[in-house]
Amino acid sequence: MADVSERGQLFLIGALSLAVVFLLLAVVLNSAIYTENLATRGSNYVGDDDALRFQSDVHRMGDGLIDHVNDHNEGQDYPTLESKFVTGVESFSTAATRYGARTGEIADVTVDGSSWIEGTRIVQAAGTDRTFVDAGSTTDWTLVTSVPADRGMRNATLRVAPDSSVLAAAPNDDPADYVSSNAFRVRFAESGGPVYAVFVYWSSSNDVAVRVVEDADSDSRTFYGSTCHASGGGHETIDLTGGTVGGDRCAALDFVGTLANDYDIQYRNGNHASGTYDITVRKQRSDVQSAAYSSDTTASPYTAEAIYAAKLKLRYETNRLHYETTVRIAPGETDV
Amino acid sequence: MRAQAHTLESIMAGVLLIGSIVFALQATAVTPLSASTSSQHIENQQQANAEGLLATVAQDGALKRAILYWDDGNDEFPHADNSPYYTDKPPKETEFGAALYDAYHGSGIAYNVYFSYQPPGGGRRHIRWVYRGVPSDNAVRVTQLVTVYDSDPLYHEDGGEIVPKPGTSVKSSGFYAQDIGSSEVFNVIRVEVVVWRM
Repeated sequence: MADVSERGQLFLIGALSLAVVFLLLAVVLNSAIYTENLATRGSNYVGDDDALRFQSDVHRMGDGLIDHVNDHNEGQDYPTLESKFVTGVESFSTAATRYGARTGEIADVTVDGSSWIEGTRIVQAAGTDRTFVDAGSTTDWTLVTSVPADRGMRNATLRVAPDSSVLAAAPNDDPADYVSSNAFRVRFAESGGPVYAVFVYWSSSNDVAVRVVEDADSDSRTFYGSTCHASGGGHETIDLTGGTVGGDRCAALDFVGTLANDYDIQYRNGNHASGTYDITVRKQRSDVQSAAYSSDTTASPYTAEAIYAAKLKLRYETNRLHYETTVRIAPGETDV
Repeated sequence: MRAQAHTLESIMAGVLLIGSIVFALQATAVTPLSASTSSQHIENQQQANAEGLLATVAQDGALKRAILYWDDGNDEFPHADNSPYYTDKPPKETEFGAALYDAYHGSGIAYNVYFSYQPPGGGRRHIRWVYRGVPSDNAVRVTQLVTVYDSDPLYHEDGGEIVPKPGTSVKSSGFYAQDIGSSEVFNVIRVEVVVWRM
């Protein structure tokens, strides 16, 4: 050992300093582990997930409320519909604020009062299966003229009864035969563009079939897409804006999203299809109502005022996040 | 004599050295990332899982159907094993119940589901839908808001599926929530799912 007179004291100091070094090592190790913990905390630390979830809740509420207000207040005028929508949104906002207050959030929705877009619903209501003729039993008639091409129609659905005695038999596989047959068709007549005709008939495989013919009025007519079939038992739903037939996707109906000019919607051979339909267009009721419709909502087909679209302003705040945005509510619009 | 003192000194040095090393190694903390049922990673994972499940179920309307699946004659959720709520498993005939069961059954994760609603005078009430015990300290909670309208019907089971019960409405029947006002909105239900590792 070293030749020091007070070896014990040196020894003690040495041991103590070694112990301190080891303790500091433990502290450094601890802080490294805790840093890794902080770095791997979930991204929900800020609460942006909650803000986006609130936005999707508001969007869903808005979609449901517009449809509910339109469907249950047929025959009311536009200011009545709008004020019912506003009170509905206020109820939701009060409830959301109360829920949020318990967890330290401000969640708030208001209607942008300057953003109303008014429209009209064209309805043939459920009841006895009426054919698709107009109120005066004319088989070839125009539902509405000059529907705006950009965001002019939403939630256009037809529910066709699978009745082989009413629906026409399948025409030969040639566009000219389709046009000259007596099958029921919905025509989208663009001003200065091709006419699209959606044929609905009873196919040879004993179900409801849908086929689209492009440029139906000229000799260069062709098929657009392929045939779509629907077989499910009850009424088959043909969703023109959603692009589905009987719940399955129908690629031929994608033409609705490509219409570039203002168009008219017409029915031909309305006596060869029966069921119900509901189409919402972005036109004032005074522009749509005509002699083809009954004068009030008691007899089909009729027109009714409807809210086409509205805008909601929502605000979501926590102590770490401030989120504000405007959502446009227009349920059933084509996604273009 | 001096040799014995030297030996004692070196032995004590050795003991002190080893003692310090052992102490330093034992002093490593048990952190939230240590492998245990309450690790932070597991909490994050459960949060993400539950959020995804709830968002999917809300999107296609299955959440609303589960909320309106109520037996107003007996004042309970249909076939509830601990009236009025479920304790063993959620009703698998509803898509929400089936999704919860498929996601969490058999993986050692327990969940509670509450439906909160607003009574007419303000405040908040909740009703249990599935209750499986008091959650542990490391439970995660996910919520979703669902709007119920005045004209919505109650649902019942018909052939293995949940369909509207004709002639019923949330307004007229003995439903657990009440109408909060004169607007078209009947009530806003907040669905709360609490998930924790057993």
